[in-house]
Amino acid sequence: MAERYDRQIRQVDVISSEFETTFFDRFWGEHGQSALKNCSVYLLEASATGTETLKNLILPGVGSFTVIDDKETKWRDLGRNFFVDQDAATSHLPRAETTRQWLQELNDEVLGHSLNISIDSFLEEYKPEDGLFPVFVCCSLDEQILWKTSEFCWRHQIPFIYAVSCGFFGFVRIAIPEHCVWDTREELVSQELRLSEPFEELEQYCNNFPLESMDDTNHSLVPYAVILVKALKAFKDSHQGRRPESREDQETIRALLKSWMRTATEENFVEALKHCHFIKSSIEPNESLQRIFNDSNAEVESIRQKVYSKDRNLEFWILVAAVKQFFIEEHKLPLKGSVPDMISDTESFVGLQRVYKKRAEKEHWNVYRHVENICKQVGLETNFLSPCQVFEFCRNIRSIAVMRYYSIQEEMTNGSILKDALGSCLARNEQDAYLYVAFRCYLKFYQQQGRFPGQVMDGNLTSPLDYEQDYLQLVQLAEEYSETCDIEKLQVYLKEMCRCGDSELHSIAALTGGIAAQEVVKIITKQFQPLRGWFIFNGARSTSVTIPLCT
Amino acid sequence: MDNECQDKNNIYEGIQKCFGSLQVVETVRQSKILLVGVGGVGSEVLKNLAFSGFVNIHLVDLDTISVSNLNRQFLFRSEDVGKWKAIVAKERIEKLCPWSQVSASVDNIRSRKFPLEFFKQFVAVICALDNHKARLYVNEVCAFAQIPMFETGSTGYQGQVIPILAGSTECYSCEPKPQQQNEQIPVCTIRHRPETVEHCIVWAMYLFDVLFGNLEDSNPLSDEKDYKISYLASDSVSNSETKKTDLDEDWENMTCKRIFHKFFIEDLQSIQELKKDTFLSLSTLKIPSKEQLNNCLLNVQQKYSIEELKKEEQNPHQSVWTSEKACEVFIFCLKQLLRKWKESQSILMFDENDTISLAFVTAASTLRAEAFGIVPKNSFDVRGAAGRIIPALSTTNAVIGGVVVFQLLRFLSGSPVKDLYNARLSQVPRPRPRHQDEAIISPEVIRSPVEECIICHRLILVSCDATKVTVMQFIEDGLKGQLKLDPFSVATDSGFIIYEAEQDDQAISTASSSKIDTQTIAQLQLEEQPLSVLDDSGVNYRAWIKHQCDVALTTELIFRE
Repeated sequence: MAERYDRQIRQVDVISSEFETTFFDRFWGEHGQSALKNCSVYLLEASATGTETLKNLILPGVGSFTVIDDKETKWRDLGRNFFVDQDAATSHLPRAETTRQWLQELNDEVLGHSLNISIDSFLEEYKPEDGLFPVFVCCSLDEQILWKTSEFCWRHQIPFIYAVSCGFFGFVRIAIPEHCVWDTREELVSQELRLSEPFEELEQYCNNFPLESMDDTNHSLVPYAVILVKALKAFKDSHQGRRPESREDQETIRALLKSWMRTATEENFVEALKHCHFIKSSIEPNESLQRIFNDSNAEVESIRQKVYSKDRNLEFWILVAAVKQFFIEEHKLPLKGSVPDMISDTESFVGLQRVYKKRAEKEHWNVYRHVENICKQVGLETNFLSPCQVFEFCRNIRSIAVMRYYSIQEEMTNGSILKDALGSCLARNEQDAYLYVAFRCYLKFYQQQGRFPGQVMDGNLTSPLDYEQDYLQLVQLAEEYSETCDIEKLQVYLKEMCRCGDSELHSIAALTGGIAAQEVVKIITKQFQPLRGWFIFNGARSTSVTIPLCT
Repeated sequence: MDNECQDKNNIYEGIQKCFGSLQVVETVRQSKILLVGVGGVGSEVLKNLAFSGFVNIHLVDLDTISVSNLNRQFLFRSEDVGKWKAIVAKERIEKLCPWSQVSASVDNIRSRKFPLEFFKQFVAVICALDNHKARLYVNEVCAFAQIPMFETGSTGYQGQVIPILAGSTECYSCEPKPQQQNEQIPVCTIRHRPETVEHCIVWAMYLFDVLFGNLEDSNPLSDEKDYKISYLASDSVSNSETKKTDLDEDWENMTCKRIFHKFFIEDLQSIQELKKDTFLSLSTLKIPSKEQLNNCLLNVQQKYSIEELKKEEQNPHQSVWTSEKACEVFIFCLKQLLRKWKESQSILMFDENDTISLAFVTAASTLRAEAFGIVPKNSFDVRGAAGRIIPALSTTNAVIGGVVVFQLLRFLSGSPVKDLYNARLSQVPRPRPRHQDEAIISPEVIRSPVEECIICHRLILVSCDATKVTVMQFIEDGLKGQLKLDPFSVATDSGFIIYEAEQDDQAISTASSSKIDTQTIAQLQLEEQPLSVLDDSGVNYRAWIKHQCDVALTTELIFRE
């Protein structure tokens, strides 16, 4: 089992590497893989886009999946959907079970279920499974189902992903009231070494390097972190204890570093010069983290509420509150604890690593005490979170994020939200944003007429297709958006939508399924920031656009 | 009753509607497509081709299915492990898409079994390969054949699709690709404190390069150049009194001993010393003993064979080697490599598909891993790591597979290649420079060929009956007579020099002259492969001799306006 997924588990942080890791595993790590394993994906409507999405989740090893569909397998499914077969089409077998069977073949470690019922009745009957984290993937082109399902998910705090394709175009939308990213995977080395405010142990360690009296070889192997600590000290000593702030100060330090070099090419000093700005690096936490600290969710009262409502981000907010407490007391964020590679001899490097690791451990334990405290205050067991979880969170504290989406309901009823979102795309000249409006008209058309614009009902392929009527109706529907965008520019996209009819081109479905599945992985593993709203792919030009609906 | 007819036309409904013409459907139905590589992206492409209604698809792939393929190559099941990818893929698609006719070759695309005529039967080639060398080759052949090629790549969260029509768009070799390096692993880690088995494998590969290969400055072991085999050999040349065979054997044993002692005893001992100083709480290193080494030297020759090692490397479930076995295999391989080096007197390149090189790296990495208390890997897994097969994700493959087939459809519906786009995919925010709402798939305008690119500007296509035309005629009548070139040298890519003009203009060097005077192109097996031609003025050309029965020798420069 392990072997199968080996290549998608990411390399664990060097210093905490107790796990057997592989060369390639920088994707989502052991945490990510187990999150995937504990996830249950519900596919609402077994369209080609839907089964392709599931395929890309079953292969990497999601815990279980359920296909919900009340239609029969038809001949037309055969030419679009990889996961149906001729027999099923001949005997009109339920599409839910047919696709379930073929999808199941991909990976027998994944539990597959099928429900031959309507989405309406599924929503009525749905009960969350114990210990499994649900995600809904909705692929219906029925606007009412989109509305209902997304509303249901919103209410139950279930991540909702909408993925459909029509003609040349693919659409993906994510809607989650609050999604907390535990690791955006953005590295900020400058702030992780805390060179602008060296801690006591680091300063002591640096005393082991008497730069002036060292021989040339050793002098050229002093790690740049040590050199910078010394430079900062020298600066403060000669400036009445003042910290370097201005550009001039920076220049003074550069000159100082240069004066210490024995040769013009001493590599460790070249590195020190390169990282010279670490000494006066910006103040932590940065704006986005500051905002998270100030969020009312990080208040104890609010956490108590979350315990009661079994909020899915409870752990995240407890940890944020604990780090915030640490910050209030220490005026700094806990150290990450690792040291990036730098020119040095092994001995000095290992020594430096130890200094950082020990200090980080100390600080992380302090955060853990705050966690225990908060848990006690809100009526949880003090061991609600393990030290391991706390340490991991501390290491990633500089790359957490909170995303709050607008619901489908807000988007559809609140014109100003949409106007802003589209406006921001059009301002960047991302014309594909028009496709969004065209698509909304397309959905509305279906809702009113029970068929798609340009859809030929008799199945006769050779008859000349006349979209004119349908097109004019779409233009009428588009009137609603005359405030939001330029209707004239929209027209060409409306024509395109007429061309699509109800056709789902397999390559576009496959592509859309690839995008949607990757977003589901991001949401489940809580790594990387997912798409910020609607994603639209335009096959006619191989372009894509994201319409932001998220704060 | 279901109104929909059972007719095959069903699959073309969407394409006809969206592209708005019956013509496209006909083109799709009749176009023959070559798909090179049926791995992660290849599987997706094959499925998308079949479901877009393509009927004639030919697959080329030389690989077998392994367990680690299963998490993204959806055409394969666990019971298929060990079978040929091309064959299994063909069978599965034909079963699922009864309208399709897939044919498959289990072969290296670079094999001479695929002459230019073979490529010319296709409307387009989709390249879904995982290595640079083969990609360059397909790029070149497609240029000679003048057919469009769609180059795909998928690594981690990133991917791209590049449509290429050599001569009119930038081709795969227009921009030199940076060599994949192991930059991400700190040098220190490799040299002194490996933490994972991959660090040990990388170290072992560097060791191979130090001893036999190109010693680059970036090699963290570059200060051990005294151990380069060529130096070690010149050391011992002086005492040539002894009988030759004895010398060989003694020299081999002595060299093995020196190398082993240096890298597995001495080096480890000095690291041990270092660690003691830093109070590092590590347990002591497991260093092989001199006795162990001496025992190994005695009788490894009888104990191992290349065949057995080969069998092992193909089995994903083989157990990892014990340090005793690793020690023996290391000496065994080292001796084999020494002989190979003596025979060729040229550097050896590490090739993960060569059993001896692979076993050498496996053995060395096992010994090193054991010493540092790390769990080693078997030769099957080492090949994966050492081959720098960059892992791919099913999601990325899916998107790339979708984009490329859709690009192909657009091409067939009448868009010239240069009007398509290079598509770049990034499923996660790209590291700098980035802005928040960055597109996941972004198009890049296709550029014109790079001025210096040989493939795009200087291809020589030769047609002749290779069984009748002599090599000399090809050079004299073809290159000199028809093209008015003054070739300085002509060589194959494997390094075989066919022709070399002498410095003092004394025509041809004597060694090969007799051969090329009398022998035909076919006798020397020079047809249907790319050749390098260096002009007297220092200009490089690439040439391809296309064999056609009973055809007079014609030579032309492609792409000349």
